[in-house]
Amino acid sequence: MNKLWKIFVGFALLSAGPAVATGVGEIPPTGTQTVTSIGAGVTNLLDQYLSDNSYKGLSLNFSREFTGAQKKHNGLYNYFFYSVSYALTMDHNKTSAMHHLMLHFDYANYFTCFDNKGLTILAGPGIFLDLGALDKPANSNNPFQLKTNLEVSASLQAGYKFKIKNYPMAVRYNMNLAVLGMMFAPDYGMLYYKWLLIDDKPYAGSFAWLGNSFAMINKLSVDFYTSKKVQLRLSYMASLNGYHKNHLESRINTQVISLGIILRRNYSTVSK
Amino acid sequence: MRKKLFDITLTIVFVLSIGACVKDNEFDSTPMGNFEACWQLIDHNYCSFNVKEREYGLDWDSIHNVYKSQIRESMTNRELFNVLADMLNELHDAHVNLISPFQTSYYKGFYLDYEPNFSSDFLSRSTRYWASPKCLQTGAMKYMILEPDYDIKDNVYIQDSIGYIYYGDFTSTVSDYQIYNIFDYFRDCIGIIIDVRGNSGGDDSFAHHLPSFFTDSTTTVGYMKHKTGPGHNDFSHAQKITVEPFRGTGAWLRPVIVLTNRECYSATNDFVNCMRYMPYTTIIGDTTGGGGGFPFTKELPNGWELRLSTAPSYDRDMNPIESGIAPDIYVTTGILDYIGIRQDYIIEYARRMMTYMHINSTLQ
Repeated sequence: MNKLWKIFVGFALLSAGPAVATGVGEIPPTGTQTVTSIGAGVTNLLDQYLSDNSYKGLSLNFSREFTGAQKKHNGLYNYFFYSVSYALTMDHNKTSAMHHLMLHFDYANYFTCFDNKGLTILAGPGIFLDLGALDKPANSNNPFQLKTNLEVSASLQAGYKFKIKNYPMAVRYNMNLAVLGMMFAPDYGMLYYKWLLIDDKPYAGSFAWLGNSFAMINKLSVDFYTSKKVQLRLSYMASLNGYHKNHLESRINTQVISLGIILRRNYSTVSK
Repeated sequence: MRKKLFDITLTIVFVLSIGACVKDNEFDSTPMGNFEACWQLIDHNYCSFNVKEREYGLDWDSIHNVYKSQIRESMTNRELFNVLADMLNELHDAHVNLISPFQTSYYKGFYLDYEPNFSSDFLSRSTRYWASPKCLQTGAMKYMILEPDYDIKDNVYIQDSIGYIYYGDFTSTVSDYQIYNIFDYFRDCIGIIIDVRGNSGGDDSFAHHLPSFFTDSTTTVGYMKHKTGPGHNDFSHAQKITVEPFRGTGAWLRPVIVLTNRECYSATNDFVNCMRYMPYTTIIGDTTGGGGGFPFTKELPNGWELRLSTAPSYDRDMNPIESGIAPDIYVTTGILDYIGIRQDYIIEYARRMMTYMHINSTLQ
């Protein structure tokens, strides 16, 4: 267990190492870009700990994305993204409800893989954290299921600037794939309620890798330039989260269309 | 270039959409699909097959064949419900329930097949017991001091005051402060009778907390396991359950008698299991109803909830408590006791027993 943590911390420290990168789209090479978005979409989920039936329903999402060049002007970019989403889902019989609340965090450092003729591709390691829960009130002793994973991730961002009738736009694709880490996975018939009674609390943490868990966030967005300082972003985000562990399968897939405001700042402006 | 960009965008959205699909239940929402799902959920998750096989020869595979022949695709929801409920009742477990919008199935054989040994109607109308102005109530607990009295049936004079608590529902918990106040009210009594007859369970954590008032040392009271896979013998290792002594003021370290009958189920069964390991405690009455498996909820394809036991409990000698706990002293009473003598024989027996215990302890 200690070894695993050391590997994890070591990887995280390495990911903060220096790299050369250039801006994506209109990210200022000496500044920051913050995008605040709200969106709505659909969540499909199956969690066999709670039910063998799949659930589907409306999802609401708030997210904030930060991309910033380092102040040393060395071209390195840090990427930070968090989102809060809530979904109220029903089974196909419309007899039972399941609530899904999820906080998601991403942190990544980018290396430049390609930068030519308006197309920029950045990639780098990162940290992927999901903190959430499912609630199925109709269940008596097993109404909750925690959905948590903390993993090292592979992150990719591609941007392409183009013009339609002299109107500047940028298309971006962003992907964060959890690769290796820890996740919460209760045993087949383990009851959270039971933890209150027994002395030696069972350990429900589990090693997560691409063979037993799959957590990924994909974002496809189009930036519309309305002014030099404020632009709008229309995004499609697909979040896939699932595992197969202890004879139980869990899959939560959310697709959201969101609209955001882009705020760009140059460090020279900030320092004033 | 614009066409190429459009194609790439469309491809990415299409690929992501495929990844976002979620497969549904492997069974259809037809009568046969729901039957198979119900049978399989029990087969993969139920925790007491071994106990039931030993007790009355349950064979879950043959149950499948017997009830499958009763399933017709044209049957109504109520007909399907009745067949599934009958199949589930073969488990003889009141923690196995089928819950539909129009009915909930519930196995009642754990108490209907036995003497009641308890009449709440009689006690609530009797001025000797609950209808007495001296019978008080705090939360879900009725309590009173049984004053020195003459026992008509056995022609004995009981000269000591004995505290009496009736606790009929573990879903209504009582605070530590309320318990402290009851014990303070009983401070001159030689002992307490705790009557949990007719209590079919509720909050199990309170059922494990209440015994902490009756011990001054940490006591192992049993073990639990949980299912780790779909096989009938896929269980975790046994996890110990202990009762810690109550940390505040108000512990009762004097004789206690717990009255039980066949309706003592689930959390009450656990409470009785804990209490029998407490010092100064005697269990009197009938064997408890059982219900040692912790229930878990699953769902059929048509949305009906299926509640079933998945985590078995054991006493501290690793005997399953699924089928009940035998009393230290078996005492039964018939309806004649209520009508002819106007006394609850089990309460009166416990009073005499408490007096003898007190005399013996005084002589020693």
